[in-house]
Amino acid sequence: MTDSESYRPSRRGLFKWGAAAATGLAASLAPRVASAHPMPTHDEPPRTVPPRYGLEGRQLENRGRGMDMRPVWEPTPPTDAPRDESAYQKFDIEVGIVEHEYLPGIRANVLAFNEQVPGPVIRVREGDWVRVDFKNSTDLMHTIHWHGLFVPENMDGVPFVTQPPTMPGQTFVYRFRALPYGTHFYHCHFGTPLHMQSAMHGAFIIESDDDPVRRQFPYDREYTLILNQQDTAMVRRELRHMIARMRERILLMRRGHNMDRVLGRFRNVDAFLSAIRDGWIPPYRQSRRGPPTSPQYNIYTMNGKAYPMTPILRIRRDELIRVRIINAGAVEHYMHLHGHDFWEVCRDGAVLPHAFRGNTIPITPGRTHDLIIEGHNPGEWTFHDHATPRATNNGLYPGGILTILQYEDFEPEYPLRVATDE
Amino acid sequence: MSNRALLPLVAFAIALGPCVASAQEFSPRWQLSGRGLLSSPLTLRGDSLDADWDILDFADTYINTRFDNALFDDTIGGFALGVRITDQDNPLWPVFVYQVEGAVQSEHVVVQAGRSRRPSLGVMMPTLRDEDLLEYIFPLNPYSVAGLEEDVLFTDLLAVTLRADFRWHAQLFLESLRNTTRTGSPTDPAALDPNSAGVRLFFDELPALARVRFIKHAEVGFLAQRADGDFVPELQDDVMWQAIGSFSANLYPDPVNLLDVRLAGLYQHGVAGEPWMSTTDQWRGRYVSGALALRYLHAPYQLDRFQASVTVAMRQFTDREARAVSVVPNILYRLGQNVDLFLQYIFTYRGGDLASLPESPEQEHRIELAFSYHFSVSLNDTINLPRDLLNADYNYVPVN
Repeated sequence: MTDSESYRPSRRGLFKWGAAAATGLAASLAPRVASAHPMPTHDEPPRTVPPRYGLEGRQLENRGRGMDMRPVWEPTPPTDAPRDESAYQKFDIEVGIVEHEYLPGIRANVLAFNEQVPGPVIRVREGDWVRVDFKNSTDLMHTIHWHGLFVPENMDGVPFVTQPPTMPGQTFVYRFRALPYGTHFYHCHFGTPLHMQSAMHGAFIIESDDDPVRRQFPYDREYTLILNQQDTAMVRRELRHMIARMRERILLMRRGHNMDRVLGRFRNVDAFLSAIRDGWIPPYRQSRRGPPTSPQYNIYTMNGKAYPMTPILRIRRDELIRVRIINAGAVEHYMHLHGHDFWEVCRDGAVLPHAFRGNTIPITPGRTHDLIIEGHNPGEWTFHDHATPRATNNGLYPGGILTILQYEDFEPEYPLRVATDE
Repeated sequence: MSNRALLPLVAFAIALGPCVASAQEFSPRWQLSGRGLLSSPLTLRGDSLDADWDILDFADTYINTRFDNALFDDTIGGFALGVRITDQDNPLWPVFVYQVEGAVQSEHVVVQAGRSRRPSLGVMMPTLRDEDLLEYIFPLNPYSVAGLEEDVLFTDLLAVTLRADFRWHAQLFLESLRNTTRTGSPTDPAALDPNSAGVRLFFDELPALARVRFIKHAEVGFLAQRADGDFVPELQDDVMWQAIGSFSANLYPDPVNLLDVRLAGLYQHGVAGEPWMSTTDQWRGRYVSGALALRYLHAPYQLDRFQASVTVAMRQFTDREARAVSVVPNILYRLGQNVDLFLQYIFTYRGGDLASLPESPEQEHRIELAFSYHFSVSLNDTINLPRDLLNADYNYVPVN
């Protein structure tokens, strides 16, 4: 028996696609979907000079001495970018340090976009021009990487590679077209293991006027779940050391100190090797910020909260909901839904040639998955990471990445619904 | 209280532990720190430069462990235990239990009880050992019969500290300094008599910002000791007191080329006019003392590699002709993280009555080459350091 045969068809069209998959129609559907959403690229003039350190628009001013501390850094926009500012969907994102509560009694100082954990959802239409003014209100260096988006190279947000890191107090202006369609996210790419863990991530959703998923699954409501995990002690320890070290570095920068080796940045591998020959000790051998450790995660979160504070997915009988899941963390999660199968329709934002049916899905770090759930089995159903150590709080089950698919018109026979110690 | 007297207490605590602990015991944050100090000092005394060379000296090696737990209201409760190796000619040889301390602290209040370092030690000079300038910068212990450094540096105490912004502190403390004068035996168990009290007002910059801010430490304090004849015959019906002050600042705040200055001053209103029979008689004297240190630290690429400092200290008695001056230049070279080589020279001049005391020559030279291994680790790190940069400058989150 195939998955589709075992599943009772629904009048909502859910299984039209499932049937198509089972009968091979998916193969013919896939090119159509793909052609409806071709992979666009930015118009880019041919390069006559290969990119090198010091190119206009992304050079480090006073290179070899200090860092550029200009208040606003606006790199060269894409050549096809509109000159009229009103043509942009404009967003202001500011990173600061805020106190965040993962669940009662578990708090931490975290790096947060616009004082939110996770950062605000950016939702635009496919092809929109987007301008993001990213202000750094911390003592650390940051960037924003647009994960899964086809942005110009100098907007990709990789420090010391595509742009200088955004300095404390500085604003960096990102401009790009919102491409391609689908569920994506953004995150800091500086000190990535710490900064992403410490809440510097948010959903970036690109909608389409002719949404291929909605065309097949006419849903009204959707949810976005960002999965992450924290070693709260490590975040605190590393954040403390990074801030202390960075305050020292800012002092050095202001004095025009040669920062290359202090920051451990080099023009190329030869320069890196040359520094080692000169006696420079790489930080992975002699850390400048206390003993480096691998994380031992103790808190696992959905949208910055651990169970029982995680967001509840609400559904009505016969309703279709779309659930966008983003793994902004560093470990794999295996999301399992009780009492239902779901349909995976997109992966990394891209519409799949045919929907995959199942009730457990592995979600690797950096990946996004879009699921469709049909409300055909009233109740309160657990939806959780089936790597159960990740459904814990400080090692105690239940907790972490665990939530409820709750039917709005369901009266439970058993009234107790929240447990914290099993 | 002597080491021997502490043993029943420690044994009781160890025996009681498993009785109190249960399956609900929550693992503490565990900190372990220590310093292994191996040196080869050469001392030349007097005009004839009588030489005394210890091939190997490992005094002042110590190890300290501290346990902390979050209490039900996020206050932090902890316990610390520390031991150090004494000088080989010290009657307390070989090991002195210098810390047995319980503490409870919240954002604004710290309460400490037990044996600990004396809270009156404001700023430390950049010398190899704490006691290198013992008689210049520390309030001395008038109840010590043998002049042991342990009598000065450590005490049984009860202290309450109020703090604001994790930088400004007001501290009240009651000390039970080791009193060995009653029988004259330096190994006497000290009675649990509160015999000294003090108050301090001080500013301490956060350790994380010690290289970028100008003022690192500023302090004024006042201490007083009971001085009735039951304690020390020479202190008949007198109150002995000290006024202390200390200051430390970066002359050139810079994480790569740091130049800082430290200053400590002390006035002791002790016994005036009494004849001196032993070295510790002058500990109860009336004098003014102080020290000034300049330190240069070179830390290329934010890794400490080299340090050079010079400290000048003086002590002048106000009721008699007696004075002392010491000059301490030294250099430190870091071989790698946690491991230092240290070369230090101490020149001491004593004049007047000080030079006539036993084992107190007019001139003394001490040259010392030392190997120092120091470390600090923290395990099960669920509790924030109280004076953490995040706690102080962002949001107070003591536990997570």
